[in-house]
Amino acid sequence: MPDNFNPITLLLQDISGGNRTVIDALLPLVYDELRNLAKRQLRGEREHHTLNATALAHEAYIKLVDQKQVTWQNRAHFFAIAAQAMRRMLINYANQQKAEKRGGGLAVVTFDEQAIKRETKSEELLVLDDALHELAKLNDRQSKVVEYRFFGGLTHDEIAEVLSVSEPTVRRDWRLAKAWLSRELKRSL
Amino acid sequence: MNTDKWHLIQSLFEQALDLEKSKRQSFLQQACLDDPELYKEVLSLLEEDTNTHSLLEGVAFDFVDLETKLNLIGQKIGPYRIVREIGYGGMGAVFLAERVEGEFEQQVALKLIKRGMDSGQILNRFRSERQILAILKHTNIARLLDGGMTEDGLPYFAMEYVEGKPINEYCDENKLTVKERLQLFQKICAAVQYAHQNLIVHRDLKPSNILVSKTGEVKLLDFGIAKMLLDDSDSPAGLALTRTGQRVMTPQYAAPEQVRGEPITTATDIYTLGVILYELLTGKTPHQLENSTQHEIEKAICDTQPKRPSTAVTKKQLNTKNNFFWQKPGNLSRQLSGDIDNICLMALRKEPERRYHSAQQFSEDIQRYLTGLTVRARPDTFGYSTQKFVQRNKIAVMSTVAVIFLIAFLVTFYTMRLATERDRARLEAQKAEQVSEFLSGLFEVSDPSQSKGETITARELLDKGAQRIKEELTDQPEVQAAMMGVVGSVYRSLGLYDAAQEQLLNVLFIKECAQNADSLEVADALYALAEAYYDAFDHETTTKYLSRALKLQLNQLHASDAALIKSLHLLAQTNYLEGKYEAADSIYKVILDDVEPASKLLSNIQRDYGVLQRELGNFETAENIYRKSLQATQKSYGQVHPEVARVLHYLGDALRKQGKLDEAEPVYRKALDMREKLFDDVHPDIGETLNHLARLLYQKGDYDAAVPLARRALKVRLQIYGEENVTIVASKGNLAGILKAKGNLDEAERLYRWNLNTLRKLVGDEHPYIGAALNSVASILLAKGDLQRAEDMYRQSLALHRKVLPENHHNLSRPLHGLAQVLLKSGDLQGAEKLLNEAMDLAMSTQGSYWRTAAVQVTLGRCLLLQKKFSAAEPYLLQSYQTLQKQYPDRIEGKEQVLKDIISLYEKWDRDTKADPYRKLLTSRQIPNRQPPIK
Repeated sequence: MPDNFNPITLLLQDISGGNRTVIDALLPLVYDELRNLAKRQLRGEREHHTLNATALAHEAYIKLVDQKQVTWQNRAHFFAIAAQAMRRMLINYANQQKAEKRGGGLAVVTFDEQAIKRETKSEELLVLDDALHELAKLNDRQSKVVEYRFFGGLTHDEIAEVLSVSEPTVRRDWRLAKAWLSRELKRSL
Repeated sequence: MNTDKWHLIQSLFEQALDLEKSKRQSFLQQACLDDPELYKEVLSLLEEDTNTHSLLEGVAFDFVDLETKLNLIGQKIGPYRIVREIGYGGMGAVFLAERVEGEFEQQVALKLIKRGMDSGQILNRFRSERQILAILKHTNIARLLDGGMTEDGLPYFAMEYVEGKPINEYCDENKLTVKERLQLFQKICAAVQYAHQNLIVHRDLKPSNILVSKTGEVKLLDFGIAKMLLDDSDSPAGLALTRTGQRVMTPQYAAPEQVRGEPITTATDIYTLGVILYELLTGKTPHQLENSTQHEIEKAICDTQPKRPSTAVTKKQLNTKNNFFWQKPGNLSRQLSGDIDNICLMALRKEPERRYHSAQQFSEDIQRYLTGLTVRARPDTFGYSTQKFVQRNKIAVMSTVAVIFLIAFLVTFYTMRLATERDRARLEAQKAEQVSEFLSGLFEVSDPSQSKGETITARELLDKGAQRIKEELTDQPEVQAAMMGVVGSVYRSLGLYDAAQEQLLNVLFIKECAQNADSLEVADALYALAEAYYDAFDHETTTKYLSRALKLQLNQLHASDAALIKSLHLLAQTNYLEGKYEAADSIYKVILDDVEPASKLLSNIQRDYGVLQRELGNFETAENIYRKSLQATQKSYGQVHPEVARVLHYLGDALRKQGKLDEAEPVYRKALDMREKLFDDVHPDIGETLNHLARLLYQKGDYDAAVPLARRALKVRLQIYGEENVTIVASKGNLAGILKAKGNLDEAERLYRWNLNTLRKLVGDEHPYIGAALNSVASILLAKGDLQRAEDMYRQSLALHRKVLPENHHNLSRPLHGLAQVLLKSGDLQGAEKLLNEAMDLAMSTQGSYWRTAAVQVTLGRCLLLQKKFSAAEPYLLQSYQTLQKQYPDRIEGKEQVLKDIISLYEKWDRDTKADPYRKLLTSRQIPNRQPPIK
């Protein structure tokens, strides 16, 4: 099969106009791939790799997309979709954590240094997710900036490309959104 | 709010940000004159801009650890199944898990080390430390049970699962008073002291590692773990690692030497204990390190003197959210000022050698405070030179220089020796100082070039210390000998007999040079040496040194002197192990009269005397001794102790050997239960009791219960001894015997054949063991009906027996009996009868067991019966049954067959009525008691 039949690549080529249907079609594929990569990470098949959102998304990209066929812009779009997938994945996880915590026993066993209470972080992520939905109502673009940056690890340049705005705009959006979200987080926790 | 308003907010926000900070507020006031809400909104956003929530400074991924994110719940790691997550930290996550392999339910805390830490090294360290950690058995220390590698290559540790709260939370929630906190803290000291005595330094103590249960029981977690994770000789341990992002040490609890990458010793734990006490009493750690840079942290820990606890407790602090307001600050401050201030600060001194020299000393000082005595801790004046300190506290210095506990131990030992020797002049101060200086340098091995880039083990530490003692103390022979003696006994306790012998030989040499050759000190040195050889099973050399020691002691000591009794005890044991039972017996009879009542020495002697009686076949005597010994042991060691478990096990043996199976079973189970509580699953003692319990159940006829126990015993032993080992042979033999009785002949045959082959490798072809192994395989062939090969094998065995055993040895009856059974089956009744008569004579001779005799009797009876020699057969069959009934009342095995033979005899003999009582017995034979599986 010739390379240009790669369905994801084809879909990605179609995305330039921010085609909502295309994004919806791509999202589950990217989501699954990210989860698989993450699981393989856990199983030790990728030993000694530093694990972060960018690296993970990048691997998904290499796996899913025929890079010769897509432009740099398409690439940025892919990562934007990956950021959405990542957000979904992490929020699902945080929800799961929260549920487990409710169902769990009473034992309080803290353990070793800096004992980060992960439930707290899960809780914070969930609050942030809610706040982000609120922010989307006030300014959808700003919420996208946060999603791409915070969940997807995209650079300001990449975000600017995906959103078709200038890089300083992204910077400004991020600064305000960050202040607002920070306040919401502190209020709710 | 709507999007327009939001737009306005953004505009004002950005305009304000373009201004200098000081001008922002007035700008906003101007711009929002008619909208105070808007003003507040933008102002608060500007505030957030300078003080953003930490979550938003990173990316989401940093806050969710992927390794645990993907659900591990329900997954299997090693023999454990993950139940749920209970903690999480820089090194990985901790789960509640339960053991799923083996029939034992066990909950553990499973610590999964995350990727990125060097798995291979951690595992290697785990293996080398495992033995040492296994020594740690203390009620206040959570035990390390197991460790290994997951299928994914992540190292894990299984630890005793502890339910509780971190000590600081516990104290605050229960509003403990200062006194109660101090008392709780003393328990921690006791546990730490115990670990230090076993050469284990925690290195990472902190409240989250010290849990208190609802009932107020303290447990220290993670002993020895930090070392395995941190000990990396080419990167300074501890805080330094935080730079590379591996947060393996909590700065708040780090000692200066940890920050500086200097050797970590027991003194490090003392410092950390000081931090914990400080925190328990003031609600905060000595240094406030939040939001500090690496450099600031290092400076604070290494250079800044902490505030005195009494001044650290301030109104402001007490009014914060911290839950430490069970009293007014002034009141608390008054309580802490003075002694408690001094105690805390003494532990927190920057120089390790100026802190309390041991956790015990720390605890004792607290005890002095609690009982109103003057405490040892003195205020630490700045510029106090170490020199002055030395002059003022000579004895204390000798102790405070302790680098690791061993040294503390050496010094204590040494000072005690001096104190007890009244007739000897005290060492001059100068000498004492030399000793202390020497000791302080003794075990420092922080330099990677010294440690060759490998992890320092206790063994290496000892070797190094021993070397220096040997080389550098030649001008102080007494000190040298005392230290060599201690190092020697540490080697011994680690099972390093050669090294122990070398040390103790040197001690003897020094003593003999320095002292009158008849002195009791020389005798002590001889005794210590004899012990070391005894441990190494060199009985000849043991006896050599022991008799020299005894010669000196018998002339100078009273019969009840413990030193003399110990020597005689060792002599008795050596005789016992050499098979000289009567000699051993007579020595025991003497010392049992002289030994101090209710002493540990007495319970040890009783225990060993019981073993001897058992070996002599005096099971009833043995039983009585063990019962006495059990009481003595419980009194001197406490209810739960390895020694108590040992006596219980022996008592079980004595009962079982007497056929009191129903009595023996609960005793074994108690021993097993205790041993499982005390030891790792993999421990020789557990293997021993499992094996004997399996044997007992087999004798009761409960094969189904016996098999899994025998299998577990085998598994445990394989882990300890490896494959080719006599213990494994014994264990496999036991299992095979049970399987054979169950009818599982193929597996039994495989096991027996393995035993035979292995024994050939281990002991050669001509050894009584080989004869026994041949019998075993032959018995399977016989049971399978392979008569030809069974006969060959029995004949081989018989020839071997005749060759290696003395004439008329009772063991010869075994191949004779076996061969006779083969002939009987193949119809050669006369040939069988001849062999059986010979076997009967041998079995009846003095040492044959009742069991063997009864077994031969029944076969002979059957042989005669088949030849219709009814009147000749009758007495054999009846006697056999009576012997079994009398000697093995609870035993089922074998009896059924005898009863059937008796009934068959009377039927064929036309004396059917005589068979009736036996028929009744046969039908009423109880179904073997089936115990529920052990919990």
